[in-house]
Amino acid sequence: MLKLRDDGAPLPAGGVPISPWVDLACTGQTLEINAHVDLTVTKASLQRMAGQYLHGADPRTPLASPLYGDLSGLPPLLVVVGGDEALLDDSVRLARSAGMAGVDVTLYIGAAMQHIFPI
Amino acid sequence: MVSPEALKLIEILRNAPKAVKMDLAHQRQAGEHAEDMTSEPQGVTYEEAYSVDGLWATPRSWDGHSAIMYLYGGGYVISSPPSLTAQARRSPRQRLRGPCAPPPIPRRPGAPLPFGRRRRSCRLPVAADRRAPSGAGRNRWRFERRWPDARHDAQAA
Repeated sequence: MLKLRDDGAPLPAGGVPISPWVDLACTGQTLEINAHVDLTVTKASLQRMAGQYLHGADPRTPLASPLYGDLSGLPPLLVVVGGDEALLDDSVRLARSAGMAGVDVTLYIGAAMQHIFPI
Repeated sequence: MVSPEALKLIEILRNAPKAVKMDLAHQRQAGEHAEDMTSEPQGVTYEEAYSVDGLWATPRSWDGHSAIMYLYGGGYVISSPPSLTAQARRSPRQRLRGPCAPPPIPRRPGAPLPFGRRRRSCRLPVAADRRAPSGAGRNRWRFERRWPDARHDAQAA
């Protein structure tokens, strides 16, 4: 959506990131705090996938890690995440950054829920 | 409140091996079956979305106007549109009652970052796909070559 916005292309009416991974530099605090309760996602597995995907690119480049980009001008977002997720902090920080950039954003944290629990 | 079904799934996940060391090919093979336990929705038709190399999942109750572009997960490394059919078809039926097209995500290594080189509109070309353009056969061949390890199990719900 950042790329669409920058290109002046039509944007969707809204976005619903479900357990988004928006920081490929893997700096979220819950990667450690929730490591003992998240059943599927580990910091090690994320770092491995980040390496495979980035192939040498900067993990903080906004097209790969929108947390480090300018989020202004995005359509309304509904961010959904489980409370027991290692990636919880990615959602919290995404909602915070989007809200501070003037985006209409709703954060829903499902207590005791796991990765991509609505699916 | 966590349902009994969710508790059962959590127990399965808890006992599954964690952070399995597999090479990329085996990760992707396993990823194709990550949702085999999920149920198939009813009343949704399924067809290839040629223009985005994805899939259309259309519920009978579609209003003809709205659509969801569903971008699947998998750490940008595993999974494919065909492996997500159950999920894609459930989403429109239960929630927004619109067609749903998960286009493929370029998978590293060897692919550019999303939207990094090609500009794509988020306006889904519904009519173009429904007309099944002359290039449909070629596109189908491309699709199957691109996702050789994917399930082709659902033509219509």
